[in-house]
Amino acid sequence: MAKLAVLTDKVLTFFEEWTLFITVMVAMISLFFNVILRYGFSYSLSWSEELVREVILYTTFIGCSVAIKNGSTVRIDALVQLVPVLKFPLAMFSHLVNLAFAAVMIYFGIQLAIMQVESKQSTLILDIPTVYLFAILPLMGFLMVVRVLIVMREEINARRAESRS
Amino acid sequence: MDIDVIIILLLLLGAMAAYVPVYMALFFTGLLGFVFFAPETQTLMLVQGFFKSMDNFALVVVLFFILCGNIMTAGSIVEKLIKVVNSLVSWLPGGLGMAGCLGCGLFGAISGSTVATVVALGGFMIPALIRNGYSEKYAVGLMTTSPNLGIIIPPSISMILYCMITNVSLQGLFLTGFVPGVLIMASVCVFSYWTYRDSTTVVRMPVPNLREVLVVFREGFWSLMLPVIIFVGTFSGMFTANEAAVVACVYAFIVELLIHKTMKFRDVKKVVVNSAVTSATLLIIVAGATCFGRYLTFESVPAKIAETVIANIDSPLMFLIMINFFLLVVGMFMDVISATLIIGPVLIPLLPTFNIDFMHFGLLMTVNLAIGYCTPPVGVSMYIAGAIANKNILFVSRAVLPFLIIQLAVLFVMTYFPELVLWLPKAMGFWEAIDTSFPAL
Repeated sequence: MAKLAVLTDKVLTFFEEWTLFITVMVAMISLFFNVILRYGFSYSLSWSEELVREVILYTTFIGCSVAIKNGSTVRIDALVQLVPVLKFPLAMFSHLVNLAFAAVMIYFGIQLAIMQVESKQSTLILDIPTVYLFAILPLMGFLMVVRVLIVMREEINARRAESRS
Repeated sequence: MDIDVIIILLLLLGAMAAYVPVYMALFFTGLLGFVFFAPETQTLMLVQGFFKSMDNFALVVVLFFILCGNIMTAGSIVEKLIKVVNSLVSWLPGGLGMAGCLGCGLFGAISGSTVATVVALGGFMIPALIRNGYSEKYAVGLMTTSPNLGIIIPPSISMILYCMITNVSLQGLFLTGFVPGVLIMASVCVFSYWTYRDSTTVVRMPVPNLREVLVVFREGFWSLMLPVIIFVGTFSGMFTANEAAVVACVYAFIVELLIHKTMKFRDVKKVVVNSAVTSATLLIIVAGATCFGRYLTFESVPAKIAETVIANIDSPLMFLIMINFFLLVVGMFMDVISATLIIGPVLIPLLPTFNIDFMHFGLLMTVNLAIGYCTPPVGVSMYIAGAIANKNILFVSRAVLPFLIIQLAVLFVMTYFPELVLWLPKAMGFWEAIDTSFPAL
């Protein structure tokens, strides 16, 4: 079980980090070249804006899954800071909410993606079928489920070790 | 107001207090509102709205300004900027304190968030101040409150989002941030001078000669050019905000990798991934707030609140005082981004009635919510600074008081003398008379 958790974590981290890195760099370089082309060659790339918008979609939704692992999701910790006893139960509660959220994303994300296939929609300039974009939602949901389970496991183990000592 | 709206609002507050991630609290309460009180609306549409709200070119700027700030902190640009400031003021009484505050301002001129600034600058300024004979109380108070300059001085993420929901000129709103920023920095410098004017314990540097200053400036030249590129690029109309952020990132990468050589190529991936994740955690709140906003508009909550407010408050002055107080409390509990996105759309429709300028209000919201970050007992910055300096919250609460008073004083001046903040965008041609078009979220 422990081995499986470590292995999944590694595979997911590899996938998430490299895709995030590549998409952000592509967005940065295409926007930068757009500036250079405009001032140097009076030419403008028509597709760079669309590409960058899609990159933001990807990084935002996939980044949220990484944020679960890093514990960097934005939450209001006023209550937890003032009453530390509540931290563990509330953290568990928020993990459950997170699982529910992931389920919603998977279920409705797949439906939305199917709708895109049926209507054969694609983006305006780059002509990317929108099903690929909407597929980010179920992908995010799936990554989230795995991440939340790994984090829950770690937190419960830490809690047990604490109460033993 | 209707009972169902109140139930949903209480649910939202409850979920947020219960440590549920902000965006999920927003998404689920919006969803519940629709499912229970307006079943004919499809969940599918709400999920689609959640997704589509991220398909927005204006959001790109958030990612790249965060990236730029992270490159600077990972490399040596921040350090060099502090050195430059330090060489200018460290010979004055209280000089290192001034340098800390001015450094936060400069850092804020590139990054756009508070928490990042507390971590980046507090981490080495607090020990440095204590080592040089400043009192712990002063050091902690200074470095807890000064990072607020990060969101007040442009570029600022909360200002970007405010512009997104109101269509105010982004450049113009950025410009309004300079006046309060400079006022706060100046007041803190005077306060430091006053506190340490006769002190014998504080280490004071000798007055630097011109050559020494020149050497530091030459060393810091490449770092100093970064804010120059951002400001000149954006305010001259050469770049859009997105392009300015991207150009700044490319420039920062080139400086750190090729000129300062403090960053290795393998660090690049780490910095990029971290920035993508940080921007994701902030942007997803926009998506959550969009869903919740749809529910609020569906129930016409903004209109109802407007009616109540207009019926009970009749002077713009009273309105602004109420808003100041309200936002200060909100800022204590909520981060600036969620607060701007949730409360902005409710308050903004009220502005034309009280004849308050949209741009002015954007600045007020930003400064007001920023101050909430370090207001006892629950401001986020206080906990971070407390953790860095190993002090409990009571100590930090007492330490921030004098600085808090300075910032509040500046806020009140800004609130009641709108011309003081609006002359700059007006002079640069970025200000437009109020358009009463209803903002949409």
